[in-house]
Amino acid sequence: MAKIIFENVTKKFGEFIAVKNLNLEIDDQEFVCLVGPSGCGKTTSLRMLAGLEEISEGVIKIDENIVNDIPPKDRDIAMVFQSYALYPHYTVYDNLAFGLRSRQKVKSANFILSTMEILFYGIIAILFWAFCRYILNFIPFLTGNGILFFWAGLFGVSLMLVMFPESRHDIHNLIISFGSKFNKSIVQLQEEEVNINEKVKETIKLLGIEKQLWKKPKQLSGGQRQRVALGRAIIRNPKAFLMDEPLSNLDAKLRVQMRAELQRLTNKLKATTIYVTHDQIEAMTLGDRIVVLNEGIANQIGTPKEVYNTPLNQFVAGFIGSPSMNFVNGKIINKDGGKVFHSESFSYKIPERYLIGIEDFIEKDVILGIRPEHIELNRSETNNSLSATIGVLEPIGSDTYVYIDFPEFIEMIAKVEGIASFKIDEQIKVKFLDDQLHFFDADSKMRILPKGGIADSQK
Amino acid sequence: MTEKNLVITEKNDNFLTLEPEKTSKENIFLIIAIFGFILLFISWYQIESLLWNRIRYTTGSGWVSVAPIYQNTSLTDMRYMITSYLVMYLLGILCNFVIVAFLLKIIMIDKIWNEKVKKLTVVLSISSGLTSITGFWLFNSIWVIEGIKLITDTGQPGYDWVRIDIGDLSQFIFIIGIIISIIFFILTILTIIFLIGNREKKAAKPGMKQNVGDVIRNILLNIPFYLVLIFYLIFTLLPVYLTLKISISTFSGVSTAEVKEPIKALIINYSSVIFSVSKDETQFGSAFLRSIFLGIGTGTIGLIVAVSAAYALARFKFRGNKFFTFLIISTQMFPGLILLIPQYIIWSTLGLLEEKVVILGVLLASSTGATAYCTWMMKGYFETIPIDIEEASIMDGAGKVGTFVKIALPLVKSGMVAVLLFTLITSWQDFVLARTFIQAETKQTLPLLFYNYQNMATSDAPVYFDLVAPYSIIVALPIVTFFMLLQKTLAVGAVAGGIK
Repeated sequence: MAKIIFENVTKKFGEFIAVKNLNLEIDDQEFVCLVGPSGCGKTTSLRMLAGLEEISEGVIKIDENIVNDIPPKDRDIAMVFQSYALYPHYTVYDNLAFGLRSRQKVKSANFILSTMEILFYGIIAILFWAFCRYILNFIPFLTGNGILFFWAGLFGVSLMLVMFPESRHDIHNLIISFGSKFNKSIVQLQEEEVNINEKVKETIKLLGIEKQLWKKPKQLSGGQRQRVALGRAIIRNPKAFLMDEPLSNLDAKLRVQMRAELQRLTNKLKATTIYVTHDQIEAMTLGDRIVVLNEGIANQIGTPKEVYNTPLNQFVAGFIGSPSMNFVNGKIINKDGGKVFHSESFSYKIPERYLIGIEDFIEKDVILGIRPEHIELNRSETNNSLSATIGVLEPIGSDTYVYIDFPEFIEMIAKVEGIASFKIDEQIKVKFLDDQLHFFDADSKMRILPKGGIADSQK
Repeated sequence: MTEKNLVITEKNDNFLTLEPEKTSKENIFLIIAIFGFILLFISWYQIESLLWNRIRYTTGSGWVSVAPIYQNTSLTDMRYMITSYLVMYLLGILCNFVIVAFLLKIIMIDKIWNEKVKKLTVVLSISSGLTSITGFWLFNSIWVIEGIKLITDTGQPGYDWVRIDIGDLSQFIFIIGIIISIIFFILTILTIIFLIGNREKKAAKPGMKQNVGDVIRNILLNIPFYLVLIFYLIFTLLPVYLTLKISISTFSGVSTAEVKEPIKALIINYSSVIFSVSKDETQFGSAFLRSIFLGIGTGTIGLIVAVSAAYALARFKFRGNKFFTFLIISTQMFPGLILLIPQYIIWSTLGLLEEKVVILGVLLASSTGATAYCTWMMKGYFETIPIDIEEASIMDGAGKVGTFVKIALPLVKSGMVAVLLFTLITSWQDFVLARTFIQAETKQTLPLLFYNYQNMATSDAPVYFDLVAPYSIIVALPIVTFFMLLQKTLAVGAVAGGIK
């Protein structure tokens, strides 16, 4: 396992900048999620780390070594692809063993073995030919039919293989045992093959696909294919796992199941993992840390809790959380001795907690953000509440999403536990939870900190 | 650890035994069957040509008969001939056994090899063997009878022993042979149908049963569709039908061809093509082998060059990639014939047109022509492989060469087969190149031999349709066989299952 560092990494496709100045430090055994809308550069970042894409500017380090010019196979990292990318002509066993076999140090042994096998069959063919040529030649009408005997050689070998199909196996073993007497690399190859066997055994047990070992990918279900793809990454015990939306091809139920399984697996393996997804729920549930990317720029890097509670800008605030955060444009003005957020549809008295931070933004445009789950709906008036009407009700079982209409066509979504008893067009009182408000600067879209000043994404 | 322990030999440990793939077994059976057929054909040809090399076409008449050879055949020759038939058909039995075993393997692929199946195999192989033997007698006796008939008809002196000793016997064997072979043939077919039927019954789900009403309705609904298909079939199959009809008819002419005594006509027409030696000493068999060599050689060389070039063009980004692709396609944009004379001059300067190496010269010329098209086709096939699979292999540490050999090549197998077939057909029927390059009369290929039939034309018979028709069918057979064998490979999508 290893530590991975992105230093000012930029990727350009011609004029287009896919990733801009990405700075990221991933600790050993950490699970980092790259999340963002499509086209934000998250997959490109991953591919740069994998070595499948060249790095335009900046440096990527694995274990303090700069890997910019190291080919993918020498970086010792494994990748799980969105499309699984299993080898369709191999069985599950061979799919899993492929990575290990490719990294064998005794590659010459395979060459020697196949050459010996070809020679062996050639000798048999020649023997057949010679037999026909010199023994059968005494039969008068067969005299001088050289070409016939040539085919007889080939026919003889094929005949042998058909009559005794097991013989292929035996000949293979014979050649191995014969070759290992004078070539050490063949012995090593055998040792490695036994090791590979052990590793495949372990991996399939870990993933629960023992019964599928000799099947080909097209005989597997989506979940099993996904497991094989994961297994192919795990089996090599690489420095880091890269996962490029591995769950996005599964159906909703299986995705949740696999998500939990993946979490269990990564906890067990304690591997450095970089996980790319467009699904913020996956990112929140899986990641130790989340990197929110937009248009090639890392907007925020932090733990799920940080990203959720203190989003650095309006994009992060809107992207993380479901349903997404409600935003209202407005101004902060002095009124009745206190400070009030004044929008076209309502005025809201700002709680004490935010007063210090807000000071610099009096009489300036700001954006108020409030998450649906932090809105309380009541029929009776409470302290600092606003009046609105119910627009739409969306019960999803455990919760109900309530669309609240304020005057001047401002709409908000609130999340209410259970099945809400409200009716459409009912007049209600809306209360925001005092300590869960977010204020953003309308110009820079950055978060206004409660201490004062605005957040800095470069931090 | 001793060396013995290191070798993976424990067959009981299912895990350690790398299971041989079922498909490769099937392939071996196919290979055997093909070899068997080739062997059968060649042995047949070799033996026959040795004994019968005095046969000439009687170019004056429309009829070309091989039967008069009996007039000049000595007793010893006759015995040799019969012995050779016997050997040949013993080999035939072997091949038959292999073919039956192959069929059984396909059918039994998912079943356990139990006692019942064992018995069936024995029955099948015996029946096929008997079919071969009876087929031998059938074939042989027809020859003999024909020979006798001709001798008696023409009143020319023949050998009396033929009529007395073998003639009667062969007629007897002939009838018995026909009966036995028909019975065993039906038995074989029935058994195979029984086996296949059993398999399908098991595979079908109980809910899939259709009522009779549904079936009838489906048929009725499909009638217009069938009508169109039938109409189309008539047009496409009419030439094939005519060729087949002429090849077994006794009159040389398209409109006047009549099927009288089809077996006799079939034997005489086809044997005239296969066994006879043409005017310029070119034997059909050697021309056949030469053409096979050219076809397979062109295909192999074209494929080896094309596959590597196409992979580079499809997968590697380098300066001038598109330009090179255009260059390759541009070679297909002008007629290849205009290169013929320059090629001829170059080839003759290089000494590639001398009699000993002229076939290699033709091979070189035809494969250079085929390579460009193959590259273009293979490039398309390589582009169908999802790049993810190759990237996964690169991440797994296979490197670029490893990815090409272990991942990309197996996945374009169907493309390779298509390209191979294409080049094989092109060179199989190539006439202009061969005609220009090959001057030696002993080095003719099949299309050139065909041309010689035209040369034999006289005012009485402008075209020997009774030679041309069987010739066309014999020449078409290998290609048709290839197509039928490789059809499965062509149809199956290779990448299925690898990605979502």
